Order: sequence, then C-alpha cells, then structure tokens
Amino acid sequence: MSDRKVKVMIAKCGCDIHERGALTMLNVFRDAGFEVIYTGRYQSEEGVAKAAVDEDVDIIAVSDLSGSLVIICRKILAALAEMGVDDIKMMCGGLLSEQDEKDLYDMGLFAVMGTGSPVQASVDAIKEVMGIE
Amino acid sequence: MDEQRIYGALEGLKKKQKRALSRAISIVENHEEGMEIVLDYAYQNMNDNALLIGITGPGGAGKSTTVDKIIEEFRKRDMKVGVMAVDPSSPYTGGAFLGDRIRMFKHSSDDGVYIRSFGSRGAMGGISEGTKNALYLFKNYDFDVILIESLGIGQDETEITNFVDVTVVTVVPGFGDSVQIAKAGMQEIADIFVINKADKPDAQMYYNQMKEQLLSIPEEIRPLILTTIATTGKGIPEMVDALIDVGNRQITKRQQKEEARVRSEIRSQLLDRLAERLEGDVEALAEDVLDKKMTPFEASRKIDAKVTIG
Ligand code: B12
Ligand SMILES: Nc1nc2c(ncn2[C@@H]2O[C@H](COP(=O)(O)OP(=O)(O)O)[C@@H](O)[C@H]2O)c(=O)[nH]1
Ligand SMILES: [Mg+2]
Repeated sequence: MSDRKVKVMIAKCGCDIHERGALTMLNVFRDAGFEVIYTGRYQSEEGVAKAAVDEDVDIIAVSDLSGSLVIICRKILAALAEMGVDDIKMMCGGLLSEQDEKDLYDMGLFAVMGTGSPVQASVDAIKEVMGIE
Repeated sequence: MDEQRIYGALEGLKKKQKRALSRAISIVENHEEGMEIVLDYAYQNMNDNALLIGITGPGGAGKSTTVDKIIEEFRKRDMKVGVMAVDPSSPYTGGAFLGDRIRMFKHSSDDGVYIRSFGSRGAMGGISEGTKNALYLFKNYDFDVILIESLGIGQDETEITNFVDVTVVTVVPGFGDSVQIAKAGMQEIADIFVINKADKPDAQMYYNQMKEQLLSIPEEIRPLILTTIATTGKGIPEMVDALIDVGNRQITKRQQKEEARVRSEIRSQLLDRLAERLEGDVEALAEDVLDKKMTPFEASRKIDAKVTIG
C-alpha cells in the first residue's frame, strides 16, 4: 500500500523581502494535503537546488515580488542541470510581466501565477502535473 | 513494482551516492512496493560509525535553532552531519508544513551536511515507521553524527531512545514545573536536559528547580543539565562536548538497546502487515458491529480465527 505524498519546496532567492505570498501558498498547499518545505528568504539558487535534491521534492515553487522570477528560475534550473537532475518540476508565482510569463513557460515551468491569481489554480495545476484526481 | 526506481536506488546506495539516499528514503517513507529490497540491503550493510543523537521536546522550544548551531559546531570539528527532522502531519488532510529546515537552510550548500525533513505521517507524536527505517539508510553513508529532531514529549517519545545513543530533551524556562516533567516521563528518557532560551529572566530559577528534582536519581544515571541560548549560540560548544562525551559512554549500551529495538521492530512491521491485510475484514465487520449484529469483541475473535487458519 503506497502512501505517496506530493512534496513541494517553496523557495525564495535574492534580496526580496515580500513573504506573505509564499506563506499563503505554504498554508494552501499544506491544506491541500501536500508536504511543504519552505526555504525561508534570501537563499542562493544553488542552495535551493541542492536542498530540493536532498529532500527529493517533486516540485520547486518559486515566489518572488521583486520582478526577478526569470533570473531566479533560470539559475535554479541551471543548478539542477549541473547535478544531472531533470525530474524535479518547477512552478512560480508573484510579480511578473507578460514577457516574463512567456519566458518562464518557455523554460519549462508547468505553472506561472501572477499576483491576484486564485490560489486554487495553483493547487489544481500541481494535481494535474502529478496526475492525481 | 517500479523496478527501475527500486533497483536504481539500490545501485546508487551501493555506490554511496547522495542522490540515491534521497530516493531510497522516499521509497521507504512512501511504503512503495519493493521497499524491502532496499531495506534488506541497507540493514545488512549499515555501519556503526555515526554517533546517533535524538533531540526532542515541545514545539517552539528551539530544537531546530539548536540543531542549526550544533551542525555548525560539528562542522568546525570537521565531522560530517546527517539530520532527520520530523514535523507533525495534519491528521485531517495528511498535509504537513515541514518547518525545521528553514532554521538550518544555510547548510544546504555544504556537501558535508545532509538534511532530510519528514512528516510524522500518522505516527502519534513521535517518529513514524518511515523515519525509523530511513535511519538504516542514513547508516549506509559516512556520517560522523546523525541528529534526529522530533516533536513532543509523550509515550511514543520513549521509543526514540532505543534508536539513538544520546537523547536530548530541550525545554524552556516556564515549561511546566518539576512535577510535570516527572509526569511526562522525561527524566527516564533524557541523557541530557537542555534548558534553551536561557536569555529569559526565569532561566536560573528553572535550572535550580530541575537540578533539585533530578537529585533523586542515582548519580551514575542522572541526566546532565545544560543551558543554551540557541539564537546566539551561547552554550553550544559545551553542548557538543557533552554530546560526544555522553555519547562515548552510552555506546556501551548499543547492544542492550538493539535487543529492545529488534523486538519492537519485528512486532511493528508485523502489525503493519497484518493491519494492511486485514483492513477489509475490519471494515466489513465494523458495519456488523455498528448494526448491532455483533460486539467488537466477537468481531476481533472472528478475524483472529481467520488469521489462524491462514
Ligand atoms: C506588503 C508589501 C510590502 C511589505 C512586505 C511585508 C512582507 N514581509 O511580506 C513591505 C512593507 C516590507 C514591502 C517592502 C517593499 N516593497 Co512592497 N509591497 C507590498 C504589497 C503592498 C503587498 C504584497 C503582499 O503581501 N500581498 C499579499 C500576498 C498574499 O499576495 P502576493 O504576494 O501577490 O502572492 C500571491 C500571488 O502573487 C501568488 N504567489 C506569490 N508567490 C507565489 C509562489 C507560488 C509558487 C505560487 C504558485 C503563487 C505565488 O499567490 C499569492 C496568493 O494569491 C505590494 C503591492 C501589491 N498589491 O502586490 C508591494 C510591492 C510588491 N512592493 C514593492 C516595492 C517596490 C517594495 C520596496 C522595494 C519598497 C522600498 N522602496 O523600500 C520594499 C522591498 C524591499 C526588498 N528588499 O524587497 C512593489 C514591487 C515593484 C517591483 N517591480 O519590484 C509593489 C508591487 C508595490 C508597487 N506597486 O510599487 N512591501
Ligand atoms: N529568546 C530566544 N528565542 C529562541 C532561542 N532559541 C530559539 N528561539 C526562537 O524560538 C522559536 C522556535 O524555534 P525553533 O528552533 O523553530 O523551535 P522548535 O519547534 O523546537 O524546533 C524561533 O522563533 C526561534 O528564533 C533562544 O535561545 N532564545
Ligand atoms: Mg523544529
């Protein structure tokens, strides 16, 4: 009887102070039945990538309100590639432009959530990509 | 069974790859089909090199902050550290906020440190079956120290002592009086009491109270009492000295602890398996009991009879 849980790491990199969005999603994901790890603020992309591998998470969920999502996600993906890891999925949310959104999807993220997007949409996106219900 | 996943992890485990450790822990934690293949190997090949330290105590006492600081101290002494950090899962949704790692995140990019977070997944208070099994996987690697942080004080917690060399109970000033400490059975399980948040005004009084309380215990087995301020690191080098010192003395008890552990382990694995196999019968007969067709006692006898016949 497998008792598999979806494991998500909410990550914040750089010097962005805004934390409410990340904390909101943390509660939303926990209440959706996921196991959630939060990196805390001001982490390096390499640190996030390594921690995600050690924790064997299914998903890295990046939060940022400083307009740096593209840069951060690119660096995390590079750090994962460096370790030869290609099976951790990535999503993000926060402040972004239309161009950012396009770039992020092009980079292979499975969900990109702007400010004001309903939280349920994020939960649904995770369930869909993980193939549950 | 996902053969590639299971045998992939097994091969990586043999080569002592970190990535395989991560994967193998998931397999065991998730109860995935084939996990016995990984566990059998891990059990047969584990080493006894690491000092095993359990840190328990009430939520908010500062356990994770302490672990962060003692990792730092062990690293200064050039020792490799593995950490298992357990947080409670919600009994309603099964979800969990695994919050310990935030306090220790800065060690993530250090190759001499491996941190893994666990949800308690249904275990009452203490550590889950998956967590215990994950310890065998950790013991296949070359850690000098393995730290297990788990929440709570209670009956379940006494079990952790059989899995580690040194049990630390972290408390804070104002956390109950000496009677409550005795009631919770903490003095039986603690090798070391750490009074954290010694920056709080009533810390000295609490220390005195506890010291007096422990006087009734024979000196050879009396727990040490240390004070720390985990946020600033005060008392941490002394704590690490004590961990190593007490650890070296406790190692002589490994045989004795193993004997207790092996029995409880066979028992709990067996109960797990039986519970899984008989879940259907329990469900079916529960209906009958609810319909007042039989008593719960008859129901259990009936299932028992079925098991006996095989
Ligand atoms: C509160 C706030 C602050 C607080 C933050 C408190 C805290 N600890 O969080 C304080 C006062 C500290 C602050 C500081 C600053 N702020 Co400010 N702040 C805001 C404000 C008003 C609200 C943000 C918020 O908390 N929203 C509530 C949460 C729940 O919503 P959210 O973060 O958007 O998250 C939702 C979604 O985005 C999404 N989401 C977010 N993360 C993730 C992650 C994943 C994985 C997913 C799926 C979804 C997701 O889901 C969430 C829930 O719906 C916004 C304006 C706004 N209305 O957005 C400005 C705003 C973000 N701040 C701004 C600025 C400029 C600053 C400062 C630089 C100001 C200054 N000059 O000092 C500093 C930042 C300093 C620094 N080092 O970062 C700008 C950013 C502009 C930009 N392009 O960078 C904004 C947009 C205001 C503006 N219009 O100018 N700020
Ligand atoms: N004043 C004070 N606060 C502390 C000390 N140690 C930890 N804390 C704070 O106590 C809170 C809980 O700490 P945490 O390590 O997460 O506790 P845990 O639940 O036992 O793991 C955090 O806000 C810490 O910053 C200390 O020595 N003094
Ligand atoms: Mg903790």
